[in-house]
Amino acid sequence: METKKKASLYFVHPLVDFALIGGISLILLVILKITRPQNFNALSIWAGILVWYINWPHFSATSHRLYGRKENRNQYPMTAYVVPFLVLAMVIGSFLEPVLVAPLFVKIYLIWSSYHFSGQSLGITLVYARRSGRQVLYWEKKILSYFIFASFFVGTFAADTGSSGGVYFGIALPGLGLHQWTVQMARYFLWAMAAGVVLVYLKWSIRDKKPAPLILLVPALAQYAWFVEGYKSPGFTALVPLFHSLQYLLIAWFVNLKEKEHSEKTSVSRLKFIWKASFNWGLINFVGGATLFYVLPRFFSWISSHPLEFSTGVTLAGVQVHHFFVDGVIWKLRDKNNGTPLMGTLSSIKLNQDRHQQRLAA
Amino acid sequence: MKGKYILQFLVLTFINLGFAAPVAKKTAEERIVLHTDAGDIVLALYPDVAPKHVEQLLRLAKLRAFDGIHFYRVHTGFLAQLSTVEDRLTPLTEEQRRAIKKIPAEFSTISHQYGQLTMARQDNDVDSAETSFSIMLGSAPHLDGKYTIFGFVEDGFESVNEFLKVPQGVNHDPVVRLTVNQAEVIKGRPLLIAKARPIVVPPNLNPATDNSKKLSVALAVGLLLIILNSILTFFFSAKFSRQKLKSLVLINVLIAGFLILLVALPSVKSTPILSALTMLGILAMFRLMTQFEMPDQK
Repeated sequence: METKKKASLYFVHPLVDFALIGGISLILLVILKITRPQNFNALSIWAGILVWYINWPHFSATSHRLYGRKENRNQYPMTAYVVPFLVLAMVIGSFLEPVLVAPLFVKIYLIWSSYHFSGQSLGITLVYARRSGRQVLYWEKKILSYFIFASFFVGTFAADTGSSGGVYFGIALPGLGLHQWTVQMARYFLWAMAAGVVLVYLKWSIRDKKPAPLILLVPALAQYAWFVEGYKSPGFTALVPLFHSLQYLLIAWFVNLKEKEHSEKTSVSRLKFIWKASFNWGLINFVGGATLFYVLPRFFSWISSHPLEFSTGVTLAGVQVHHFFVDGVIWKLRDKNNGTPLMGTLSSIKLNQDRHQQRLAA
Repeated sequence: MKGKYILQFLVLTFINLGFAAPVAKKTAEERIVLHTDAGDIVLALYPDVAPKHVEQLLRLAKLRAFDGIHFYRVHTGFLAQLSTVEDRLTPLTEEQRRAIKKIPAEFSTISHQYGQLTMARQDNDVDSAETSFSIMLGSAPHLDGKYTIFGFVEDGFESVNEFLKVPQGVNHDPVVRLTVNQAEVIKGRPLLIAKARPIVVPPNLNPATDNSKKLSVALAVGLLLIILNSILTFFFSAKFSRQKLKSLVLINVLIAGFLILLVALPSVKSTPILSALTMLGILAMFRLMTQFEMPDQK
């Protein structure tokens, strides 16, 4: 009798998974808290370099996944074909009315961006919960969700308590002028939900009769670091989009491998396949990212005669709002070849030749 | 007759000194020089009148906490108010943040007149002043005894006048950011300061009066898009799946939400409850957008 082998909790390796889904940000924040540096130039320089390799490709990966295959586009035609025009209309409106439309468009994108981070942190927590073989009850999911979003509330509300909304690529943003009590309320809610998360973790541990895997808490803790504790550490905030992108890239890279494993026809070794597929995917997304964030702002600046700084701010907003829509549907794709790609592991990747050998052995 | 001329001389001298009249009070040896895009502004401080305020402002200036703040409100004939340090271009360091204390009120008999520096605070707490302050651009006796005066503009008022030329929004918020690039503490009255120069306002940044016309155009375009989308939904409702129809409705919500923000945002920030509701509305809109093209559960 064949026993069903339990899937591993980790996509690649405990350390790799921990680092990419939020561990790096937690470690960096601890280091910043201990060392208390007064100069953050190095962090800013690193952030400027890494956006090319991490942040920008992560946007490209989403578009590549939707537009790369016809059946994907057909499943979500509104997102694939209508949303780009909607976003383009906003971008054109921003260029035509840089004082009236652009500040509000960028403001909405910035708040939406943090909201989007929160949604992803929750999604990844649930993926790992599922991989650990546990059924997350409705109220458990709600508590996790409220804790993650409460962290976002605290950071976002605090950022909007000032009279001005700050400046983004030379665009003076409108401020909502939130009162301090909104931040305080969000904090109370956050602490209440933090207590709830502890209870959920204890419940899981009691049910398992051993401590539940800590990785289940990493995305939520990272979210807290990004929006609450990290908010007080200058320099750290500049890296938060990178941390978010790292989370995303791990999942997107893995799902891409799982999708490609079925189409691989040559008789290559598994390791070679992983390297080759990863390199191709990385290259496409690097080029795609550079096109979206380096070439496109220059192009818009050229045709609109607006300064590059302004053009960059508006283009970034447009590309990212498009990303929020695409990301909302991209993980709901129905792929008959990959029933549950998010449940696999790196060692579970099987090429056609492996299957052929298995059939021969049988 | 001679006495009349002496009196005239004294009056003219007084007028020429203008805002510098409060010099009669003892001023601190250290000055704060605001280096702005419009030139330098020299602030002299009253350590005897408002010792705690002066101490905190000098301490924060030495820690470079004021670098990157901005004049967010320039109200001709009333005041030009600087933002809090939290509103500066870069986040505060831990040390700077720790140095900010709430300052108890230090009211005096000095009246709010042209050129005086007055500390901002929360409306309901006289002891809540922290970092934001204003330069008076006219007399405001209704503020006397309610807000702490802690110094005056010693030099560089021409730079402040340049701020007044920048077009403003409905809440007297300048259309371009009037940044204080650096706030420097120096000993003694500086001999050389950067002269006043005009703030460059991009031609596309028009005053609010022009924006009202543009706002009408933006509203018309937005409403037209909503109507076209609704007509499309109406005529093709039989052909479209539920998934598509829901998405078309959500597009209308998104456009309408944007238009509401476009009209309402400038005025909500003065009412805390409205600004909180606006933020909740924005978040609700994002929540709704997660349903965009969501497949039916069946």
